[in-house]
Parts: sequence; C-alpha cells; structure tokens
Amino acid sequence: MMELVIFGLVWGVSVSFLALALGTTWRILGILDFGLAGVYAVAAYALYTFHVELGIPIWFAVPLTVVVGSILQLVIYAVAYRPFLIQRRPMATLVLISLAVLYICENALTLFYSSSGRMVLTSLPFRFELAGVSLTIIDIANVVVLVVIVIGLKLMFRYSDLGLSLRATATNPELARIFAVSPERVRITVLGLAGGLTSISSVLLSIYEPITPSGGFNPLLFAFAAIVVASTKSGIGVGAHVLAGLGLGLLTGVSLIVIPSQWQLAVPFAAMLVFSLVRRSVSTQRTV
Amino acid sequence: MSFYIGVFVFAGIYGILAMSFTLVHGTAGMFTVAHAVFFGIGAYAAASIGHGLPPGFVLFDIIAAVIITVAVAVPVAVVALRERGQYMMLVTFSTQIVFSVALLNIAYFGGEDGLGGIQPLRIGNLIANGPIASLVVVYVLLILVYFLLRYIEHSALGRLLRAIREDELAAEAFGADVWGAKLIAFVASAGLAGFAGALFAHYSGYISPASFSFQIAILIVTISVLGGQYSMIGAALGAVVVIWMPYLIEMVGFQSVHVAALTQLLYGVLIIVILFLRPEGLVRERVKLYTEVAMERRGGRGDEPA
Repeated sequence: MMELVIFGLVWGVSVSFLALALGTTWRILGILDFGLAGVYAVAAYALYTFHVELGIPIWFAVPLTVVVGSILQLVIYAVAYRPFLIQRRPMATLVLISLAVLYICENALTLFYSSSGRMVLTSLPFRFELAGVSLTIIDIANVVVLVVIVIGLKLMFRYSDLGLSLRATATNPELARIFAVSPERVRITVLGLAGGLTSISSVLLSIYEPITPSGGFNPLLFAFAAIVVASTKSGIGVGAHVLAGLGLGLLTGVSLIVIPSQWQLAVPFAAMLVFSLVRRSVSTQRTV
Repeated sequence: MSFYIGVFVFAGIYGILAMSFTLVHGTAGMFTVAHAVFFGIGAYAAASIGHGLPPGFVLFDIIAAVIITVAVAVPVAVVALRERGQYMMLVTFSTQIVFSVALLNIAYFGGEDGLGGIQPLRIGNLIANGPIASLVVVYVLLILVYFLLRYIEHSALGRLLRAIREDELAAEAFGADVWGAKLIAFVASAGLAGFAGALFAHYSGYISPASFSFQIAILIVTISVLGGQYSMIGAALGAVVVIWMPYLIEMVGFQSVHVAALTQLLYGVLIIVILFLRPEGLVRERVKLYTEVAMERRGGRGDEPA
C-alpha cells in the first residue's frame, strides 16, 4: 500500500509541474499547448545526452536540462507560435500548431535516437528505509523542489511587477495591453517558464523510468486532466494545479489496488469527465 | 499494382472520414478530436455484428454500425456541447483516451490483437474483395457522401452552422436553435465516421486499436488542415495526399524503418507551413452569399435580392 502511495506521489509531483506549465500557458496565453509533451521528451533526451553520453555529473546535468527546456520552448515560440499570435489567429489554429510541434519533436527524437527506451540512471542513489518504506534521496528531493517552486511562483505572481502583469493578462489581455503591459514580454516569460517547468517534470520522472521519444504524451494526458480539475479554481491557480496533479497521481497510484494497471490511463480521464460535468465556469474574480 | 490500388481505396475511406470531420469542424466550427472514436465504433460494430451473419448481409451490418455509432455519439455530443472551444476539445480528447484504453483492454474486442476474419465488402451477390471492385465501390460511396454533405452545406441547416461558426452568440440572438443545429451536425458527422469505419473494417479484413488511436485522430486533423478545413473536396484531396505520403517517402529511397517517423515529422512541418501560408488549405471554401441564393431562387440575374 505505502509503495503505491509513494509511486502515486512521485508520479503526482511530475504531473504537477507539467500541469503548472500547461495551466499557466492556458490561463495567461489561452493556448492548450500539446507541444509541451514534445519539450518534455526533448528534455529527457537532453538529460540522457548530458549525463550518459557526455559524462556530465547528474547534479549539473539537471539544471542544464532545465535551461535547455526553457530555451527550446522560446525557440518554438519564435518559430512556430509567434507568427500566428501576432496575426491574432484563432486559438484553434494555435492548438493545431502545438500538435505539429509535438509531432516534430517526437519524430525528430525517433530519427536521432530510435524509439527504444533508454535509462538515465541505472540505480537510484542513497536508498534508505523510513517506517518500513524504501525511499531514495531523490523521492525527498522531488517534494522539496515542488514546495520551493510553488512558494517561489506564488510570491512572484503575488508581489512582483512581472507577476502582476501576468495576472492582468490572464484576467483581461486587452485591458492589460492598454495599461502598457507588453504582450511580447508576457509571452516570453510564460513560455520560458513553461519550458522550464516541463523540463523539471521530465527530469523528475526520467530518473526513475526509461525514456522514449513518445514518453511525454502520458504525463501530458494526466496534466490535461489536472488542469480541468483545477479549472474549478479561479485565477492562475498555482496551488490548484499542484493539488490537482498530486491528487490525480495519488488516485492513480492507490487505484492500482482495485483497478488493473492497464486501465490506469482511464482513471484521470474518468475524473476529468466527471469534473467537466460538474465544473462551473472560471469566475471573473481572479486570485493567484 | 493491386497494392497501389489498395492505397487509393484506403485514401477513399479516409476521404469519407475527413469529409465527416469537415462537417463538424469546418462547417460548424466545433473543434473535436474524437473522430477516431466514431470511426472505431463503426469498424468494431460492423466486425462484431458481421461475424454472426451469413455472407451477403454486409449492407445490414454497415447500417447497424452507423446506428450504433449515432447512438453512442448522442450522449458524447450532449456532454461535449455543454462546452465551447478548447474545453470542448478537452472533453472529446478525454473521450478518445477512454475509448483507446477500453479497446486495448476489453477481451470481446480482441484487446491489442484486434479482430480478424472480417467479411469482405459485398452487396447481394456482388463481392467487392478485389482491388478494382473495392475501388469502384468506395469511390462511388465517396461521391454519394460528398453530394449528401454538399446538400447539407447548402441547406438552411448548413447556413445556420456556418453562422454559428462565425458568431455563435449572434446566431443565438437571432433566435436560431444553436444547440439543436450543433447536435445534428455532431451526430450526423459521427454517423458518417462510423460508416467510414465499417467500410474500413470490411475492406482491410482486420482491425486493431492502433487504427483508431489518438494518432489517427490527429491524422484526420492533418488531412483537414492540408486539404482545406472548410471544403469537402479539400478533405477528400487531403486524404489522398496524406495517405500516399509514407509510400512516396519510401519511393524516394528512405529506409523503411525511418519512414513512419519521417512521415509524421513531415506532417508536423506541413501543418505549420500550410497554416501560415495558406490557412484555408489546398482547396478554399466556396460560400454562396445571400444575394447569390436569392438570385437562384428568383431564377434571374441582378445585384439586388428579391
């Protein structure tokens, strides 16, 4: 039982970061960004290349991967999203572009690395027992990183000028523009942040599981479910996205007791369908 | 030669599927990614029902497959139509994922291995299991579906759907039954996707969950974007281009292990390039203006409507 809870928590922490990236992009820019699954996969292979192929120590390869993820998302923005955003194309067009980005990332990785799975770490370091449950220092680090980043984001959104600009854009983009909030600055910040958060999500899970070019898709499915669940909360919803991600991860882990693992993917989507049935529209009163 | 004819047959079936998607996405402006679900329901229903029937009843199981698809589409539509835009896409997306997981895990549908031994296309004593006969049958059906959808597009319902696509609130303000029109479009489109699925099952003789996965849902969107999001002819043309692409890449000389990845990479690049350079796709929508409709009704010429 405790093993399943730990599995659910590890999965949930990773999903939380991806849900934060996805939710922030959706609520501030209005884009449901499927392309983040591509960034997730590229980040996993970047970590693999840095650590396994180039021999860079893992403690240095991880932040390097996060920087690569942020830069990649900004490059994708400049090449793929920006021309359409400037022309104010419908959001459905941007969703199509994000699907194309996902296709390009996944298949470019397949061509370069093949579709077979690869391991970043062959064994998890610093294993110990706590109350009869086997843990590693990475399990603890996951939770610490999540708490630190959530507090950092909350403070940034609430107290900094940049955070205020982002919240203003999320509430009313046209009004924010009238009050001299630069749309370009907002887009670069949000997408750079989303790329970084996606890379953190990818790194956390890549340490445990084999990586594949299509490995970003399942976490993205959970993140979609998390943002629908979190949509019952108004504002950018940092805490709501994290709680939804953790909740779905835990639900998926614990549900393994009664539901066969091959049905695992249906669990968050059943939750998502239920929430979409009972969901109220996001209120106009927004908080962080 | 028969292999290449077979590719054209599949392109024709995907053409019907893509045209059904154009009705809901292009004409009515609803962004759904659940079309592979209805395609799959049609295929699995035809395969399951046809299994217990004597030869010569293929038409019966195709009709039954369409009815079953429509019956499933109604509750999906009722849930999905509560939402708009990207929320609607999320609901259809979750439907697609639940369907894919269910197909993989329900033993009755063969699980990952799928179902085989499906009867070939047959109408009465005419068996269309040869490539040429299948080609004729599928393309005749494609043309019939085209004219049916063209009729719908030019009817009052089609004009209402386009009005909803352009401005749903305005259409509602004019007293139109927006929800009813969207429901009809969604369910009719699903029924046609189920019809395409039944044809697919009978022509290929074997179906598996991979043929109805999220990747296929995206393939349908790719066909629509390339051919023309608002044009039925564009959808059919896009299907031919997209279905032929992997074979063309192989003909150029790329190794077969790289063809699938290279094809999908190319789909991605083409979506971005086409949406940027020619957002309406290869074929543009031909919309009859009110003045043209009025002139047709009058049977005369002139700039002013009656």
